[in-house]
Amino acid sequence: MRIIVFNCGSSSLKYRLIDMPSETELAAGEAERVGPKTALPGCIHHHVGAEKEDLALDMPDHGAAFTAVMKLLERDARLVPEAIGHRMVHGGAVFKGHVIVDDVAFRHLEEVQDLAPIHNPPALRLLAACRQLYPKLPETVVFDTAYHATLSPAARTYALPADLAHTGGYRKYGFHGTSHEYVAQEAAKFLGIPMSELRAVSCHLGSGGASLCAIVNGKSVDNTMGYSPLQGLVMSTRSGDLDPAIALSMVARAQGDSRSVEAMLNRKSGLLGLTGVSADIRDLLAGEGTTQGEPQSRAAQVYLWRIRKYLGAYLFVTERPHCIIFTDTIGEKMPYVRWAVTAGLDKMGVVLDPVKNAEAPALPVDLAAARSRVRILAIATNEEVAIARASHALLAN
Amino acid sequence: MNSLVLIPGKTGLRYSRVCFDGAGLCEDNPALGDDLRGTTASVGNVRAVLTATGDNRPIDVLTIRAVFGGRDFASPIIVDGANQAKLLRLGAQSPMSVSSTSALIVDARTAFPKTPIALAFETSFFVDLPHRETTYALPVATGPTIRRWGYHGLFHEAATGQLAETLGCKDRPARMLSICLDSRPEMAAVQGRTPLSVTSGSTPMEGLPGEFNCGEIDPSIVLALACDPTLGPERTNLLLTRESGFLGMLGFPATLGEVLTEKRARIARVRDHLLYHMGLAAGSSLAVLEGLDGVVFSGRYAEHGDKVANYLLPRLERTLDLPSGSLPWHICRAPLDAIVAEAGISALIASGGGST
Repeated sequence: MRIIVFNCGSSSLKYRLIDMPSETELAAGEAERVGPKTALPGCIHHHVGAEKEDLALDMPDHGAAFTAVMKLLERDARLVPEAIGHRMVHGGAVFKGHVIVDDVAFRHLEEVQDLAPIHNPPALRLLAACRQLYPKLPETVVFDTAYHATLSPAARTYALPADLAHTGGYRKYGFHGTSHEYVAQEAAKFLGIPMSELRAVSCHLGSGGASLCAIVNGKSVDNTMGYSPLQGLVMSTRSGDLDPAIALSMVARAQGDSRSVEAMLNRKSGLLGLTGVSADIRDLLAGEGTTQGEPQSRAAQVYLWRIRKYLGAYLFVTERPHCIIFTDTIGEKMPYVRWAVTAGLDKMGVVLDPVKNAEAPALPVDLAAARSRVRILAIATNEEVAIARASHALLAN
Repeated sequence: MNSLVLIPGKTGLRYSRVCFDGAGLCEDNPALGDDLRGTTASVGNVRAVLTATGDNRPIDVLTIRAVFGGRDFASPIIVDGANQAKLLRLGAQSPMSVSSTSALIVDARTAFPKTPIALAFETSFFVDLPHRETTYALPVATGPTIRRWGYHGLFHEAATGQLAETLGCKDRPARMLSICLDSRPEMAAVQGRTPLSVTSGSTPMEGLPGEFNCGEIDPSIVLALACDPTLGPERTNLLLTRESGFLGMLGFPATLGEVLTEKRARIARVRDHLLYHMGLAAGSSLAVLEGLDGVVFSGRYAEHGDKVANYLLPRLERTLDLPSGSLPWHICRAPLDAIVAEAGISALIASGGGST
């Protein structure tokens, strides 16, 4: 079965046509820099087997990116999909697991789209477009929240009135679960440890969204994101953690217009808000080396500091983990980021090898120095294969 | 020297007279602290109580504990016209605290017209927190005054001063985790005399959960509550500051001391929650300090520091590859009244004063 998997990031659209169950990739690519304008133009990196092509174009939203990707695929009749798998960020309390899409499920998806205002709406629009263009193809939705179902009560509970938290569904859900689970499985394989014994801190550092996950015995025990993907790290356009009083005073200043504040915190804050110029950490670190000094950009300092603090928190929670995993666009491709957030942590058993880190050989790779108790891995995430696996399992049943 | 200390609270005014000799707190110091509540909570009534009890000793300095001093007040001060005006200009940043302090200055000046008045600010210790720690990732247009502060600076400064002396690090500044066990608990990573991170935020609402405040929550929840027609921003503010925390989770009020010591299952769940979040903050502090030399507890419930230490210390030692039981920890038992008094007297001496 040929399953095309769509993965809407906040500023990217990854796609992969996968033959299942062989997990053979038939075509793949990524539309980068979708959304807010950055220093470089948008681009689709498309490939079928060894044939690669890059298509530069502006993609103001995910609908435009999807249309362009479909045009590329439709040039070859052998690449017509037999099923579609979608990544959906937030399933809320409605979806306890992954689903096959029907009219009822679609209506429920519409109900939960506001829980992740950057991701769910474009993914839902993408899903609607697919239903319109390929009405006979089965479609599945795989949720990012599913891997974090194992969070402990202490980690998932907010100190709110209990009845309010219950009726409002106000709890930590956690996100990027598909990626964290995938790279954890790959790390376990790489280190020769059963997944059920793996202790790790997974750092999913995307060009748009980012989160850290604490993993104990192969299961997620904490995640930096919370009720929504707004909480946690500083991201490209999202503020991350914020004093509740600041959010309240912003609502008061906006004369009660919570929607405009939500838009500001999700789309105009983070690196874009701090710099006013670029939402991409790669732009801010363009002049830096791989292992020296603090970055010139004060926004980059804030971004790196927040990662470092959460890394310390999760090294504590996981108690002598086997590894730290860096993944996704920034985690895989930015040696400076890996260096900056781990430098000086040798007392916690974390020592990066600067040469290995700078050389960035093929992934997966161990970048830790020989004397490091904690291995430091860079692993390419593959949420698409993870989604294809889950989709195939659903459709096979 | 001695100071009359005034600590304003939500429901009253705490006062105490604190005497120091050259070696520190006087041994014959009277019992520290008493409270005036409701309409009796004025400095005039404090003076009346002192007179009625026959305590007519001269007061060298009257010291007010002020919560917020912004960037302008990096140390305790003796009040004069210029810095009183400066304080008033901070009203937009922290309206409740600044108005309370300003009103108390006027009240104190009326009751003790010839006595110098000092202010000891909780935020002074955190004025020089690094930019990367104070900055929220908000649009620049939001303004430079929105930044992270700590709100138990007086306790942290005194406690880490004591611990540093105990540790005796000579070749480099001591790396310390300071845990203030108060109704709103707060943790700070301190290197020598310099704080590098703190759990509280722009206001004391952020950070660890407390007896009534929610601590850290997803900003999306705040927005969802604020646009709920049955709540709105003002009711949401009350809900997050007065009805959340231990009270919200339990359904009945409990002090931090009770949460740390009681065995009831419901309270134990809240304790697990608090200790877990303290653990996260401790781990962050390790990364910020690049190691750890010791842990110190202070605050109203400092005597229960052992309960927190039992949870944190073994985990910290495992994380740092230290032998079991090797990480030093200390309880700072100095009461807030004495810390505030010492700050006021030091401000008086620095200003060239010393007697009334």
